[in-house]
Amino acid sequence: MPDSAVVIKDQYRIALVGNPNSGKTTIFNLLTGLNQKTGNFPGVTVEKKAGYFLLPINESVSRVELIDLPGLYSLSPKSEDERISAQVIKDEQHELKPDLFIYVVDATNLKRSLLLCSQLIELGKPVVLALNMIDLVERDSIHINESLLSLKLGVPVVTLNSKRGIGYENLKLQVSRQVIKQQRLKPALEPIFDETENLLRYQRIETIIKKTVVGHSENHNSITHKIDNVLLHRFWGFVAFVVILFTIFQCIFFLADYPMQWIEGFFNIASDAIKNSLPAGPLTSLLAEGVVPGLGGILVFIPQISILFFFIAILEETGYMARASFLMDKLMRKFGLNGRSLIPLISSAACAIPAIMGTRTISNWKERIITIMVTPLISCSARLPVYALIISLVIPHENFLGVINLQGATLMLLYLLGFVAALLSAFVFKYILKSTERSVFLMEIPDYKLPKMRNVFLAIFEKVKVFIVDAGKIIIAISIVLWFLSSYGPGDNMQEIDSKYEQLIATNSISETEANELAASEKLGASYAGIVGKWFEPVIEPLGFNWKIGIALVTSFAAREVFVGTMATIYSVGSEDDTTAIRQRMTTEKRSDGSKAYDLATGLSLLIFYAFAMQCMSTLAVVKRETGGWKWPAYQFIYMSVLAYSASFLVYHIVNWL
Amino acid sequence: MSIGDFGVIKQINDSELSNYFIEMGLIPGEKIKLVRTAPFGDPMLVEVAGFRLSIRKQEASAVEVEIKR
Repeated sequence: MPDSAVVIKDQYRIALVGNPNSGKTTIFNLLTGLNQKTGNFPGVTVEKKAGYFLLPINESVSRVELIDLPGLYSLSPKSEDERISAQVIKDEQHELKPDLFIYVVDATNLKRSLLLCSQLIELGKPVVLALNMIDLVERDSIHINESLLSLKLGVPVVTLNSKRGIGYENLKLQVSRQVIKQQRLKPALEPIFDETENLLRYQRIETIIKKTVVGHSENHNSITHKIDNVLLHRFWGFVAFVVILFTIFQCIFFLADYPMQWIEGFFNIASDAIKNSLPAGPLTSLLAEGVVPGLGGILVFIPQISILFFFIAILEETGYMARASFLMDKLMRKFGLNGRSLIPLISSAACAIPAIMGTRTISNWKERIITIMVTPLISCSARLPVYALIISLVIPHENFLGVINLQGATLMLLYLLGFVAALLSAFVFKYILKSTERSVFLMEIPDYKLPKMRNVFLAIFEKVKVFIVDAGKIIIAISIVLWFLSSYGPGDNMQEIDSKYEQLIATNSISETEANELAASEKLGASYAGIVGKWFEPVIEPLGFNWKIGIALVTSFAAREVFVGTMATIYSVGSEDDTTAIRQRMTTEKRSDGSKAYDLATGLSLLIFYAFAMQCMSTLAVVKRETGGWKWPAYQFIYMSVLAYSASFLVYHIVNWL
Repeated sequence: MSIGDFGVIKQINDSELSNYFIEMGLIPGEKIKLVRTAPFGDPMLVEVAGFRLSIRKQEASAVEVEIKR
């Protein structure tokens, strides 16, 4: 390949189209590798996956843009995400109008896949047909005559074996030949996509298939059938569902333990190193007490978040997610939801934002709105740091009955609680919202597949990257502001405290270390942050929260995970000993009466509050865009706040009373 | 139709849904097999020419099938 200096950038745009489950994402990942960027389609929030790859065109090398369009079955879309794809395909004026389409076909399911392909060809779109999963077809000793198929359809045809990565060079070659042609045969008559025309298309496809496909197999994937006998069993299916979810949550706590300790240790050392190597001053303490602990407080949860995304990606890749929807459809319907709501609900255990975008596959308006409204009640990965911190403070690190990790079980219960709350809220919304629209649940259940680790790891990489960049920006900004607010106070308060303790040391009434600790905590109380927290305290006192938690509640209003960073900053400012982790400092925190500040009642109350409260600006913004106004996000914010406050209040008082 | 039965799709008796069903691959003339039902008896899992679809009983009643034994 020629020198990269002569690469012509972004001259061409190519789109991957095809039915869902045709293997588009694998092809996308193989072509673009790490060269991806997730964005949004213009004007809407459907996640747009774009990437780049190098393609030799004529004598030079071009960097072409590849977009992965949401899967669809025809050009008469039923749901929002199909509508986006159909628009990009049909609209000649679309700003993302591709120069070429790679139409991906699951070769084991040729007839239905070719319907959309023939619609594209009739529209005069430049298409390269990629017969994917050709290895599965050949395994059943079926032969597809590619050149005849290409002749009959009038478009280039390539075969791909994505398992082994065979056929990609040929695909690139065909793409580079076709993309420069720019032929647009405008159809003489605008094609119609109604029932009659589609049936005629199928007839033509049938004729082509008869001529080009040799061999016939009645053998449908028997392994899939055997696995389904268990996983879709009327009793064992449910047991398997619960066991799978339970295992995931146990793993999050077990497997993440060591890497978390390493990260925590690293940041403590970094903070110390900064303090010791830089001259003392406001900038050094800003770095050592504000930015570094704030960042460390959040990066420490990357292992847990990666594990969670790992399992979600595995569930999707293997084809289990679709089956979970199938298992739960009837139950979901009772609560005004749809089997398809289960995928957003489960994936919002990672993050509510992609989950809410994922509701675009639900074609019924009422079911979609209800799913959007209740999805943020599912505990997302941003709550994980908060849960993990509080659980490690108030729940003993012990095994129950020898095997069940108590902390893991508590975490599982919190997720379960979120799920139950979501279902019950959905049930209420079912009676509030009125709709006469028909609800349909027609969904393809794909064969089981071994997960492609490349897809899984790329998914984790993308998600963690977004988490670090997005959360990191907010957290650094907030920890800087917070460090300032908790280090400085109005008037001469700070100096007065200093001189008071200097006198006490001078008169030898207390030791120097003791004086420093007391001064630090008194200074925090006198700082701007302390004043805000104390002003806020009467409102949250009935929930068992002190003013330090109050500060964290205010700062984590925009994003929950800021709670941990805030706690880290609050408990680091003015502290002498940086080697103790925040967790230990919080454990030893005492109330004025000498009891532990983070006892079981306060801990559980905090957990419940974070489980139910709507503390995520990004989610509200997405709901606004998805529903087209402030009405739904406003309702959502109000109902979730009321729920969080009253549930916390009840829990705190019940636990104390027990 | 009961579990394990198969037949041939005759037509779809629902003007609102027929084009949608046809696009999803429920094409008249294709073989269809009822593979299983979900734990509460609904929805059903059917197998058509090489792929599986989940369909609720309500909508399935619109798919006219000639049962072969």
